[in-house]
Amino acid sequence: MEVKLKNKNGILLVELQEEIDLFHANKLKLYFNKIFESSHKRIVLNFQDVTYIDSSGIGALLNIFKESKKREIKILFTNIHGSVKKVIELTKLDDYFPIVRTQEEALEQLGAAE
Amino acid sequence: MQIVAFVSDFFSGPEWFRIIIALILLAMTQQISKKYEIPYINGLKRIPQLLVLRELIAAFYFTPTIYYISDAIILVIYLWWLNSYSEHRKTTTTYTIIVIGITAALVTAYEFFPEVTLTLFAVNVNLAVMITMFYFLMNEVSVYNTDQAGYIITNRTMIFIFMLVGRLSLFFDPTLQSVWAQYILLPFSMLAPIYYIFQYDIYFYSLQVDNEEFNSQYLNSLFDFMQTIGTAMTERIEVKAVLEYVMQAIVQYTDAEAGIVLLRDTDDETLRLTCREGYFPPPYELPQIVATRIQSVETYFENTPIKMGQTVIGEAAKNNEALLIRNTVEDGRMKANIRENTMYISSLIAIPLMVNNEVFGIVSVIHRTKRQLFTELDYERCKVFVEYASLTLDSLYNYSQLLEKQEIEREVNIAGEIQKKLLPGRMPKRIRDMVSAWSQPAKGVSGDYYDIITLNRAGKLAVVICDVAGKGVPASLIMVMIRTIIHLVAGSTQDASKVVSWINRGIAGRIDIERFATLSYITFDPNTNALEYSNAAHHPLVILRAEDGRIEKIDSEGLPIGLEREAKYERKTTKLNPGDAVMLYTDGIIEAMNPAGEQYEEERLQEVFISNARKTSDEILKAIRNDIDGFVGSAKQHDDQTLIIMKA
Repeated sequence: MEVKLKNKNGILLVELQEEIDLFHANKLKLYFNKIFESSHKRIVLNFQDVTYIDSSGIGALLNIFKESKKREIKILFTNIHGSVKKVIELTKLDDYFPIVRTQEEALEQLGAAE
Repeated sequence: MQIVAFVSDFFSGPEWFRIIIALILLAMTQQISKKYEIPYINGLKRIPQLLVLRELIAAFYFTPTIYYISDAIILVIYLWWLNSYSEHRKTTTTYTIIVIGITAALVTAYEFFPEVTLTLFAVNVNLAVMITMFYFLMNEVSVYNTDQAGYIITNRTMIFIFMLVGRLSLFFDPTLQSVWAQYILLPFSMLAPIYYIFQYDIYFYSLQVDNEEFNSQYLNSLFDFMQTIGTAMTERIEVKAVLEYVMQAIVQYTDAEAGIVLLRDTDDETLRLTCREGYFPPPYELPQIVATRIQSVETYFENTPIKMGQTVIGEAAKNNEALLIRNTVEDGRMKANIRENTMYISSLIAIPLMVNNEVFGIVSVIHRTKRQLFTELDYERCKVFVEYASLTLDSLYNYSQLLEKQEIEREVNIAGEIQKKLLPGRMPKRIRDMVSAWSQPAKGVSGDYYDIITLNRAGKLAVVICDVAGKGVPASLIMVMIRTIIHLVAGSTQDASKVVSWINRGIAGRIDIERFATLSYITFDPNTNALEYSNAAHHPLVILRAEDGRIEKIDSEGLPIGLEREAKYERKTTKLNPGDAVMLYTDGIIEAMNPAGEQYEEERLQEVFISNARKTSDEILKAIRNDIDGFVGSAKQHDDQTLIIMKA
């Protein structure tokens, strides 16, 4: 799976792509372990281009979220829509995950928090 | 005017007062018998009805006869109630004849010669004597000869006193005509049922509290146990060490005096002593000289294996049947263990260990004092433990073979094998008629688990559907954990949300968070039509109402299993009317894809469900399967599919 990285005012923007399923979940987890090792303390995960997620994908997100909490890294999920939104709502995780509507809102929140 | 006079007479009369007491008793009995599962209460439920009936008759036509006849019937109900606890069929029949025969003869005589009240006096004497005989029968009840005797033992004296006081007081006025008899003496006869119904409430409430406390303690240890075994999987510890751990756990939780694990030696078909906890004499005859010293008994047992098929333990292993001998002296099968002090065993449980589809060995625990005997509950818990050990040993065994051969692709098959073993076993016909289930693992993925559990003899059942994220052996092991917890707690609580919280508490913090699970748990009681539902972020429950052919969706709050230890789960209740159908499914069903890459979708599933509403659960299931097959065509199945239909 492809991941696009951008840096905006010290905030790491991660744009996830296409499908997060059984075959990509582990890669994503390992990828984030590397990101967590770096010095970034504020991360925005953008789901705009994600078309599909399955339970393994949700598992990977849970892992990423838990790990970020442990390392006191601020992380926000944005632009969740379509089938991804449906899956997250179905698994009742919409209040559990740190979700905001748009990337701008996320950047603002993280900026203001500093 | 006569009616008015009658009504005002009635409401100012003593019958009115007694009817109210009887009605209160009736309501209490109904409520308490619904609240708990009280054994043998059906007869007792008739008593308040009888009391109400007799007061109603007395309001129109008062004669002492109806009181004496109904009192005799009530005493007979008591006698047969006691008989269902501890069999005294002959004595009970004799007493029934005496009570009914003498009472009937005497009251008939009274009806013909109402001026001779001595007959009524004699009825009272007869009943008082028989009440005393009933008390003697109750006193024969003890924990050694009767299951669930606790209630009778605690309350027999008070029940007797109330019965006798009610009876003796009638000696003051056997014709029951005086105001004194009407207002005080007759209501006295209702003291005994009021007392025992109150006691039932107290007794079963405390039993339930104890049970729940024990359960939560027990569960915590079980969870640790599971975790230890889980680590054993990854650290490749020896089978013997796992067995020792299993042994200790079982001895501890059944409060047994000793326990052993015997492993099967397939070369000469024997069972060899592998682990031992406490002093455990062998189940076979020993040479006299050996049997006198505990130490020589132990050495002898270590060196003399049991042949498969010989002794109660060998037989249980050979036939692959779990065994409970509650009382060895009464049972008679263990002659070698009831005479000598050193050989004495009072109660025994033996449960075969199944690994790789054959008997791998047998676990057995014993009590050695007369005062302590195993209960059905001990037996059930033992079974859950051993079954869990079997399932994990099974995976341990397969896994270690796998690691040796480095055949990682086979892991998936093993997971599939484990999963097959989790599926519900044979079920009673009425449950098979009510619930139909179908589960199809996709290649490379296995994460669905479902189960149908009978909760009581009256046909109450629990249905669970669960989807564990991820695949392979680790996911299967989580299913094994979930299954074990459900089987342990489902029977001991009426509350569906409690079962789900217990599952969550057992899993959360002990697994990788990415192996979370979504799960729905329902219970259904066909006798009351009550359905309970609790959901851990699985698809909502779909109910198709027969009345208007509409779909009703029920959902309840709660996070997936395994995220937060303290997650709260909501409980929803509803009634199913005859013909209502319930559907549970996993993602794989609605995400089934056709060659064009389109998904089956929830809407289509519901349409097919509705259009087959009038069929049986099995036919509905088949119709949906056919429709999915038709839709998918040649496309490859990419996720597990599980579908359950239940019809009230």
